[in-house]
Amino acid sequence: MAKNAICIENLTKEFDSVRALDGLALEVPAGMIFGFLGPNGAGKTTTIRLLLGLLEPSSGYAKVLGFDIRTQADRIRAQTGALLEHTGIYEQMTAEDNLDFYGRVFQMPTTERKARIQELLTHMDLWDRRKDRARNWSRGMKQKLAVARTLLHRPSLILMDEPTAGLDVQAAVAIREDLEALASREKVTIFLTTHNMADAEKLCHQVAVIREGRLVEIGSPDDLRARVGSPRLEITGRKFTDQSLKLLQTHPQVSSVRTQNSHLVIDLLPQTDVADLVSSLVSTGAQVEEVRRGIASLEEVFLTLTGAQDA
Amino acid sequence: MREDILTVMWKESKGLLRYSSSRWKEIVTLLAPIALFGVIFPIQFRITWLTSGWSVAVSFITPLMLIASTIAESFAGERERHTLETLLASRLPDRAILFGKLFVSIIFGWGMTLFLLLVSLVVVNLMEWNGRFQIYQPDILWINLSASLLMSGMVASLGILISLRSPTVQSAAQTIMLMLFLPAMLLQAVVFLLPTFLPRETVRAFLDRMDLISITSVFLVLLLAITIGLFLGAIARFRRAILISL
Repeated sequence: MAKNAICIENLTKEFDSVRALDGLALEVPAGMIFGFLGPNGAGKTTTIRLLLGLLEPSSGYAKVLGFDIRTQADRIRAQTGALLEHTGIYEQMTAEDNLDFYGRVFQMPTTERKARIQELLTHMDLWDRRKDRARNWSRGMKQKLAVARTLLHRPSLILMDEPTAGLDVQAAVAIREDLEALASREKVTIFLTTHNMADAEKLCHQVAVIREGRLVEIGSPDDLRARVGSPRLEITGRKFTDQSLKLLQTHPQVSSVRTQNSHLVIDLLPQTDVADLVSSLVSTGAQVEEVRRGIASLEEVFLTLTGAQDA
Repeated sequence: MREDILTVMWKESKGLLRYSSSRWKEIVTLLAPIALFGVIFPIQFRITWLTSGWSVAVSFITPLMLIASTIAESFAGERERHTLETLLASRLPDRAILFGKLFVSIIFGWGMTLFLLLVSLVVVNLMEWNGRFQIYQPDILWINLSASLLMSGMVASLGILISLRSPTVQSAAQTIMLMLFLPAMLLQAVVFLLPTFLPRETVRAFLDRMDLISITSVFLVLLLAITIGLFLGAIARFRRAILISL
């Protein structure tokens, strides 16, 4: 397999007068779970469609598994599993027939196909329901079935568009755990779009943030938090008076202060002397029980990068 | 390619007639033409059913009724139920998807018509049993076989062509009905209006020269040309990018 599963250079897609993707460039190394984050309308779904050769780019270039998206899209689709915006499950067919159909589509021999269907449905806790028509299933069960379909032919690359969108918390966690386990077991590259930061933080080795069709940041979730998010101090204690808060707010190394439940959350500038800050706080009569250093969550980083906090 | 077409046909056969809201509707769709054209008409016409053009009319009408009521689902149904994009994201070649859907509809329409002709044959023999099994006249049989096949091909190709670019099943079904019945109504209008523009003797002389075989042969050639045109049109209109962005 190529070193990079996906390689995108200056990719642009325009629909009439709307520029959905604007000079996107990124590389996704093989074997990792890559999160593609962005608000609604940022260009995530368009990117997936372009990578699968379902749309033609207006300009730019991309290779998926070493194949050109313009001229070798059929070879990309043959080696890729896709879970798109909708599950794509045929509701009038049984769960088993849904998988059987896509197994035939990907030319799996009968014996291997049957064994693989049993393996995946068992893993997804759906084996006992294999003869059910999918129309009677919950959204979570359909999504699990769609994940099983995506993995069926052991693709080298899986493209997923919002795999946990619209699911309740339990179903979303179950899908996430399944993806994580399956990705490590099957050794595939997963490229997933999401605006669910919990998915990105827990699942992805690397994330890219996209806004209005342009790449804003790329790196591991830890890198992004460290680069974009400011360091933070959480102080638990008593007697945080107005005077204490005023003192902190005017401190040159503090960018913001707020109270959250019974503790103070202080956003700091880089390289702040925490000991000095705590001493100042204590001098106002505050009683400090616990001081904890922290960093912004990926969600806060995402909001900063996508400009949602400006609004 | 052959395997891919068969795979799509396998999937289509699993879904055929299963989209309607009730089981009764499915049964009525299948049984109504059999009851009407396979039983009631042959009882009415008896032995002339095997020798006259009445069974030929059925060979034209049955595929039209059956395929027109199901073909709108082919692409518009997949689009409406959000399964089309996943199908297009698979490794299936364009033509395998197109031909798979087309062939299932043709086999369904043609197969049902042949079954109906067989049922009507049995009914006529039961009504008119004279000690030996009677069959269709050879020319009538030939016309029935070719007319039902070509009509199936024409309606399926037209249906696919329209369904490819229709946002919903309902809009596809309405356009298909319009496209099928408008030419028939125009033809009828021409037939009625012809005597007012041409001398009655000329029309009569023309009709006297035409027998069932000649008229049907002309019609079949025309049908073949239309079917080929529609089929090529469907191939030309199959563009993944356009199918997705609808």
